[in-house]
Amino acid sequence: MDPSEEIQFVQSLKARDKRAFEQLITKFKTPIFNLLYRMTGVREEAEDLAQEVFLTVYRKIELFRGESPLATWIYRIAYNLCMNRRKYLGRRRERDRQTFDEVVERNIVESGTMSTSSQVSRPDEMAEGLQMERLIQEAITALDEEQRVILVLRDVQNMSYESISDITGLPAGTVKSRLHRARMALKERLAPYLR
Amino acid sequence: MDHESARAFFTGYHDSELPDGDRRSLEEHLAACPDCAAEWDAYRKAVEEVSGLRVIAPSENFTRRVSMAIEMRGNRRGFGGLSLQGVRLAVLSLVLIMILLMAYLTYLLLFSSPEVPKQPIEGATKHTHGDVQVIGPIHADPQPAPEKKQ
Repeated sequence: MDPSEEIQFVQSLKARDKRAFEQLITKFKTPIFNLLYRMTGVREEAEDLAQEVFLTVYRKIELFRGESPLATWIYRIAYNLCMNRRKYLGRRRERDRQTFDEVVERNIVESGTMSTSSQVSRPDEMAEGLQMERLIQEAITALDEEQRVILVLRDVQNMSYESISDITGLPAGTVKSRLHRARMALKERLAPYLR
Repeated sequence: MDHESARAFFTGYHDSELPDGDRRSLEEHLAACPDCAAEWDAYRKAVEEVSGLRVIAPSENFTRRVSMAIEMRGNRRGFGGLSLQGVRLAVLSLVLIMILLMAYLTYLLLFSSPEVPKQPIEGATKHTHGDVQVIGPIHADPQPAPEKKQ
């Protein structure tokens, strides 16, 4: 979407155009959900947070002034919600949580791609891929929250340092140092499985 | 270059952010130091594994669920519905009407229902005007009754 198209699109959102909002959700639901899922490791929690992101977009769209791309603004909402999620989730009723294994098994059917680095077809390889993915997710979830979000934005969402700075409001130097610490910690945790 | 400095360069090296001089120094060190080379290999593999994680999508009914949540909770204003400003104005008007109504009722209760004494008041005069018995007027400062002489 080029800048002029985005301006028109934002105007439609500000006019509470239902079709525009559905288009917005369709476009951003997977990257936003994926970010929140990798941050939390829990599907249901990630869906709740992703829903809250889009509700916040709906409520606050009039405050969007176009100083940054719409995507950056939406990611910023997701980032803030993620960092305050304990407070947010504390207000929500407790729900039964699905384990990571259940989520992965269910999504294997939905997703066309598999494994962390290659296509897996044999059951033993599939189990191995699932096991590795579970280990990686556990290692990510075990990271300090401030480091984790930088790692997920950079290495999972494949964002530039500049975008991460815009989203988090952190200086580029802080982003790089947190990323370095996150990756080193991850290396330590995963080293026994990656030889 | 020592081991610590070499490892501090891993992230910049991986992301192609190191200046040429630092990159060459690191590559020379890695070529000569098996420990740091092993560390670099583990670092690179760990980052590759994270980057290769599958993209996980939300449930199929997610868009519909969010649309419904917007209808129910979004700014108390559904798609194309009454604006928040309109709702505020309506509530404010209603409150104002209620206050005025209460003030009017209070006025009626306090000033428009004179108390009619059940028994004649001492000092008041009685007379009839048609079918209506009228009581009054009452002196504001009635004269004290003369004392009886013993």
